[in-house]
Amino acid sequence: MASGNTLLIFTPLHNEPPAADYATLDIRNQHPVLDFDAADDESAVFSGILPRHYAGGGITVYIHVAFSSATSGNSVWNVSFERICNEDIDIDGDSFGVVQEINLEAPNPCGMVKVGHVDFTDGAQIDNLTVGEGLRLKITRDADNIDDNAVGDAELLFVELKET
Amino acid sequence: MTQLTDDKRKELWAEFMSLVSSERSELAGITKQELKVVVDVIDNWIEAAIPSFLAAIPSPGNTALTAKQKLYLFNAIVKKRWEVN
Repeated sequence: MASGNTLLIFTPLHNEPPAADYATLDIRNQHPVLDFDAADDESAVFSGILPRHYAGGGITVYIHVAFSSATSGNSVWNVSFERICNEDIDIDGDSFGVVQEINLEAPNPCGMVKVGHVDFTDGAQIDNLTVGEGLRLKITRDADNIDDNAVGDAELLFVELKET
Repeated sequence: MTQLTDDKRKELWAEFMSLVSSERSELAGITKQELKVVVDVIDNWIEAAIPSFLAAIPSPGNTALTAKQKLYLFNAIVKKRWEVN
């Protein structure tokens, strides 16, 4: 397997919320969603193992997002990887790598889901992850970014990691 | 009754966005920043309108009630009207 293959899928129920400023679990018509506030930066964290079929390329992260109220405007998302490998990383602290940004416009009508993505190159951008290693993916709505102007909560439904 | 600080206005702005989000009330054609301007304008308007509101109440109410009591009634009446409509 190689380019184009799905590596991992996360849903809101996989979230391991940070101690503070976390996205809130909610339900929209029985769809689990994570609500990201419009006024404060909030985050969700997902963990997994980079699958054995990963061939060493870049990783594209897709996020599927709806909005509670907005039918226009933009949202800004920060995405970063943390490598958790054999006897090298102390999990008493966080060590997320470089942040990549996704800009996602609110779809119209309200209730539609918009998909955005960002490409991480192999190496430092994915915190030097290699096949079979543990990882965490942190997703933050950068609510205080001047370009994040969509009113109200953004609702994260799915996250997909695909080999670029 | 002093004008809201910018932090208090932001608090109110965030509360309003949380409210419409929890109700999933659609807000079309307005950005977060434009919504904050709405909060600012309303607070500024209230600040400018308070003296004429207080002056408009005839005696004996004008002298018998404190400014805070008159503004309590103003707030309560707006709230009742909002609940009806």
